[in-house]
Amino acid sequence: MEKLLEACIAGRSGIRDGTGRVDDSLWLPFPDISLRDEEFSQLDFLRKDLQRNRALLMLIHVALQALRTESSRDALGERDGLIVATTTSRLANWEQAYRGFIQHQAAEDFLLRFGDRQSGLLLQELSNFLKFRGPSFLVVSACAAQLQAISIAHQWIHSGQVDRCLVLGCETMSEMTQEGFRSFQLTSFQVSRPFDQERDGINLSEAASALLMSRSSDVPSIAKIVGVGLSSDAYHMTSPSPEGVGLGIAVKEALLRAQLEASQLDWIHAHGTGSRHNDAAEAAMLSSLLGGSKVPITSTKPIHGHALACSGGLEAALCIEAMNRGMVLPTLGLKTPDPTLPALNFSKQLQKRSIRYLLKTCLGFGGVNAALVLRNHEFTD
Amino acid sequence: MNSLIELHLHILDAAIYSESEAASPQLASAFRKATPAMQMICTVADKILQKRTNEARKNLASILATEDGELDSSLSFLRGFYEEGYPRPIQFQNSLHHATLGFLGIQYGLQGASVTLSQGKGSDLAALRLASIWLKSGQAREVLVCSLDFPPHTGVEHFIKIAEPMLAPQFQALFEKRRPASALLLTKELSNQALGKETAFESIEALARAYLSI
Repeated sequence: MEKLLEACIAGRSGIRDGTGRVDDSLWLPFPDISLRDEEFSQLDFLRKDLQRNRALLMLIHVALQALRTESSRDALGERDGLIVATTTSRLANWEQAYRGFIQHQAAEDFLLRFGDRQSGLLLQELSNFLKFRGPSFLVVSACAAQLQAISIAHQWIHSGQVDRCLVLGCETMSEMTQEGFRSFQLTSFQVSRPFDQERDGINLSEAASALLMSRSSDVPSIAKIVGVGLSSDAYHMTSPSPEGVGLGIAVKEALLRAQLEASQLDWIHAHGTGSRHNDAAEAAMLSSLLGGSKVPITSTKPIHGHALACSGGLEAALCIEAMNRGMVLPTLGLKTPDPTLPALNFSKQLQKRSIRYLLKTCLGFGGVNAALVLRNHEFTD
Repeated sequence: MNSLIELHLHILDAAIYSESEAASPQLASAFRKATPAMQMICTVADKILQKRTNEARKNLASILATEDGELDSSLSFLRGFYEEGYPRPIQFQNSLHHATLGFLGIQYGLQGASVTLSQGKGSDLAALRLASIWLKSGQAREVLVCSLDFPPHTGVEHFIKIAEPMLAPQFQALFEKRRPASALLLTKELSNQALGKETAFESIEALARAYLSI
């Protein structure tokens, strides 16, 4: 997280080849996690088949990081919940075997790998590794999945059914994801440029992220969730409604629950993919929401790419780190805001300012939307 | 034993998809680009949603529990790409597990929260647990919970066509399981229509059958 934040501050994009694929060495081995003996032997076993276990290893990596912070218990207990968000799960494992089957009739390998296809197995194996037997969810609702997961965890904790919830997100790069977005001519071969007049698409990336959420005031917190909102567009399978109507429902719900006016926000980290339609819909909705208020609007996706289901958690975590340092992270690649978009405060530069409230939004295929309002832990009601 | 009472849920309506049923005429034209899972969910949900007003539909939250989701479209997409070098956008958009619920939302104007859960045999219980959380938190007053699984026929047929015959039974066994679509409309508020007695459940389909037999 520290390296990612530094990259955002320095304006250093991780996008190298237009797909945003990160180097495997970023994740493996696990230099900063001290494993117990029994965990080490299990992990060693998993690492013998990196392709098959890539998503699981990424999830374990971030889960242990979150659980082993100084301020938290280092394992999930009976009163805890677990939520994982992903769309690809272990798709990369069996899609290559499918290619072998189609092109070379390598049936046995495909038969073996395809048994791994169900997303639920990922959750099951993660739970086994963490020795967790409590309630869990595996959310697969496209690019809004992890922000949805955070929202569900917030409501779950407040319902009193769980005390804490570990919310994980994971996307691994697959040929299907890359070719699928290319088939829609949605990918850019340059660093993406959200809200810019020359924006030409998104950068795909892979990531895993973890947030440990608790209601307890005994635990030092890094931020407080004060509002969540979920909605659907009911408009189109792949394009948001041009006015961002569905997203607006989610954002208004989150603000209502936070008991805030939009003008009280200090920062909006938009979904901001860099696609023509997404940015236009978000801008239209935000213009309607903000009126003349000049809340800074940014997107860090040009730095780390669009991590699909994991993007909400990854960007929320980045926002929290930046908020606690009194910084609004800039939108790399934004040179000239698109004049056809409403005139909003699209922020190109790093801003140092006190941030009390911020809004994070996510949109996804199928018309799914999520919004989250966070409050700086140093401020009270 | 899990029960609806423990989850503070009450059934307002239920429906089960029957393979002998044809889609309603209003839906048929919309199904041109729909996957079998989309057709199944619309057909079963229609039995519940046609009784609700447009305003009620607009605010309805929806949850789908599925194991294989839209895997059939994933295999079709990859097959087109690997065999012909032509990735078809429609198959990609349909390949996401959430596409099923997204399609239902478009057909019926559902603008409430919508989440797709895919966690094996635990999917149905997770869906009911999420409905309980949403109803308790005020996220929604009514939640439509759907459950279905459609075996990826594309992969099966193609496999059997070109693979070694001796492996075909093993592959088919991966897809033997099929769950017809079922749907429940849930609320936390008791009404004359609601099934308030303690009801243990094995699956959403079993709950729907129990409700409909009353």
